[in-house]
Amino acid sequence: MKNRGRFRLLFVVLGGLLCAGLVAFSALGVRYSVQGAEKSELFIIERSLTHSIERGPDGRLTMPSVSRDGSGTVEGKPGKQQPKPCPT
Amino acid sequence: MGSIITATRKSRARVITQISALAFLNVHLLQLRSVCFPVLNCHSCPLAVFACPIGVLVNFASLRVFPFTTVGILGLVGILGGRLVCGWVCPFGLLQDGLHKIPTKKTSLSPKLAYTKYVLLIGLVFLVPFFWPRLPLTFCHLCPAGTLESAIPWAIMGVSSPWRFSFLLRVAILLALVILAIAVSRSFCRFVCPLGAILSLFNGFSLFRMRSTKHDCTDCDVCARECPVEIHPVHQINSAECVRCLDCTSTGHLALGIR
Repeated sequence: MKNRGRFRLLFVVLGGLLCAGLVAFSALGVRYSVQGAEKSELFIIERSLTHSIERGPDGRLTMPSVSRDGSGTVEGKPGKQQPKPCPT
Repeated sequence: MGSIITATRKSRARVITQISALAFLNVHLLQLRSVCFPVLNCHSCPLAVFACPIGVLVNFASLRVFPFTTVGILGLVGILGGRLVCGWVCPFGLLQDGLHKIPTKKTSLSPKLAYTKYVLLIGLVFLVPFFWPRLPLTFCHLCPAGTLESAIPWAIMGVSSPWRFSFLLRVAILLALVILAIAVSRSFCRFVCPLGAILSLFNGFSLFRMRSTKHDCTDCDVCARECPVEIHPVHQINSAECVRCLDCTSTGHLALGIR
């Protein structure tokens, strides 16, 4: 019984470290290429909430409403704007 | 008598915590939507501060990107307290607790229906958005919390039309779950919530968990009658369904602890 408790605590510590490691790895190491620029996971989360990022037909992450240089608009599409929450 | 007073204080403390969490999660002054907070609080709500972890999982499945941060946060919260946040923090849990207090005839459903939430988690949170990212049949498209906090407010504000099939379907689902919550305690948490399904996996071994002093249990079943998720807190201690509301601790035979 005592061993079981110790095993559980070890599992909790290792699991906690693994999860904290995932968050740290995401913050420090994970970068995604979006239209040629390196972006963090937090950026992907924020954009995904408004569906302003998607995986294009070529398999790359793209932001349809932003031009490739990230500065302005794509012909015929709305410009870079403050993301609005999606009216699901 | 002492335990009854303690129980009243505890349930009052829980309601205060739940209301405070509802206010904290929806103060428009803060905008931290790139971080998820592990409760069901729709990020599309005009006032929401954080992202909903289920929404992030759905979106990342459709983008085919692994959600390191969300998995890490959910894992940390689960490892610390299992479904403790379901009982003490989740705004949708607060709503259900309130609805179930409406004095009508109460009923219960088969505990086997609890597996539904795992099917919904795998199907509508992972598989559908991963394989059919454009299909409007993810959990977010049907989520009653999203309907209440996002779809209805946006329709009232005139941003989206309420005369769409998808909107009417969402409202119908919300109404069905409201009626169910009035009749069956915490029905959404037990049978539908995919976040509850994820956190329930940690209930058995989380750091903070229920412990009983079985040697002085008299099988009076008071704890079972108190339990909002209709489990027997002593015989099914740390069950995947337990939301750690601590109502059963009023008997004095159960407590939340580390051991």
